[in-house]
Amino acid sequence: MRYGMAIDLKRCIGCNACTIACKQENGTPEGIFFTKTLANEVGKYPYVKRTYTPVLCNHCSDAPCLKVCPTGATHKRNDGIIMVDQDKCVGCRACYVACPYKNRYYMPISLLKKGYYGGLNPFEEKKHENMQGEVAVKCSFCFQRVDEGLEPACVVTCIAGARIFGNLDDPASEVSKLIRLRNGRQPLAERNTDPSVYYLE
Amino acid sequence: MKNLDGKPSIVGDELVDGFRFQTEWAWLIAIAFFLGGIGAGLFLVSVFFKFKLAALLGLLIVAFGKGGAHLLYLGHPLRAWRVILKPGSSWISRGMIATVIFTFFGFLWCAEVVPGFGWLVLKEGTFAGGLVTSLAVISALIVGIYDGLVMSSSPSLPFWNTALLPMFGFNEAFLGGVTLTILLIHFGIGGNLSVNLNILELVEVGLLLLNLLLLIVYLMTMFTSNLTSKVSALLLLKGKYAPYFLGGGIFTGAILTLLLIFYFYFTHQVLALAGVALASLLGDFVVRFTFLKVGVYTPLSYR
Repeated sequence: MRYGMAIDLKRCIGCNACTIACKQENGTPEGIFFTKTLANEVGKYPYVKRTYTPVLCNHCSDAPCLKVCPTGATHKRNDGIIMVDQDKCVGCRACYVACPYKNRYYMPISLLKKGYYGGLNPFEEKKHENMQGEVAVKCSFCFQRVDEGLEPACVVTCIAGARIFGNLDDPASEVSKLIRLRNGRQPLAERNTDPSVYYLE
Repeated sequence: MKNLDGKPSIVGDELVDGFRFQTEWAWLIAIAFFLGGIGAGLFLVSVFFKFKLAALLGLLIVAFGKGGAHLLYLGHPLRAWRVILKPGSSWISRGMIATVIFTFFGFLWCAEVVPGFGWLVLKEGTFAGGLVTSLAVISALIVGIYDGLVMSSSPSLPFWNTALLPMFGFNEAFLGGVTLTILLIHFGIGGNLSVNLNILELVEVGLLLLNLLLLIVYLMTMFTSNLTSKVSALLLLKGKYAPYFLGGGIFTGAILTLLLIFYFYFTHQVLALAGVALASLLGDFVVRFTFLKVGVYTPLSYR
């Protein structure tokens, strides 16, 4: 069992609905994005094209963040999801530096107290209840939803159906079929991290 | 990866693709790496000359300077003990273990000069003496090249991901050790130590030239290995960190240091020697700091 995601770049319109859904699901404070969509302008006027690349933790099979973590706070579940144990993290930020995709964040405690609109609203208070400051944080493929048999928040909210989530080890799963048929590529494959996120073009 | 002007885009945290800086490892990590390097370097040079007081100073620089800077940097310093749990894969774990071993056996090696520990004399030629010296030296070597190993072990930042970095870091550490040893001896802290200072000064010049050579080779390699490492190298030579790197790292750390060494060689003014130490150590620190700051990640769209 290895959870993974295929992201269809032809379908993504850069609306950032996934970004908002992720923030709503995880209650991340200002400046912390477990997923986001990067815009890229290519070419020169008048031949300019704008493309979008949604990014999130790639839950790599050979994750550099896992290797460099000195405490074992970063660990891998049997289903391939890379997690951070807040109680074990010392805040050395080695994982942040080691992630070739820069998809990890360091959560200063001040952010947890600040809130989006000055002070914490009831939603933020509830969401921040179990969050620790001064630790590394990142996307967990919404493990709390996945464990209940649901898909991650970014997947169910995508208006274009650009994100497809499933078991990469099952050749009959939709995600595996799409990767096979559309020749899905892993981001920065030359870094030898074997990401579980694939881009379809 | 080009932007509309045909130049590589360097971006911050905005939602656009481009080269992004690593922003977390900065001042405190640079201070920890710098103090770890010169402390371990000073200890190693002192073991060679059996200069126990200087060895103790090196040990204190590592234990309190490097250790203190690392602790200050941690988000949860009270959990620092957990850092030793993954020596199988993490260089930070290995470095922490090496630092603990170094502090213990290094202290045993130079304990006789510590007030109250005069009874703890390490007898030369005995098995115990040899074991303590060997463990202290090996762990000091690891502490000396630790920063290079930590930085080069991750594939995320191409500018750091090279075997040249530990070599360069160790040379910087050794150079710092020699510089401090010369300074301590000139200020009379060496007591009746029989050290040929002329040879030590020649070693310092040799190490400085080797340092400069390694730096040139390093930058040449970075310019030709891939676009991301080239962007980092350009940031050092032409970008926002160029004034620090060229002014502090190259001019002060190498050229001014060499000039002051020659001035000292002919005049034997102790003030010039203090200038050598200051310029050399400042250059070492600036190079380490700017190397941390110019680490950039490869953009996703770069293929």
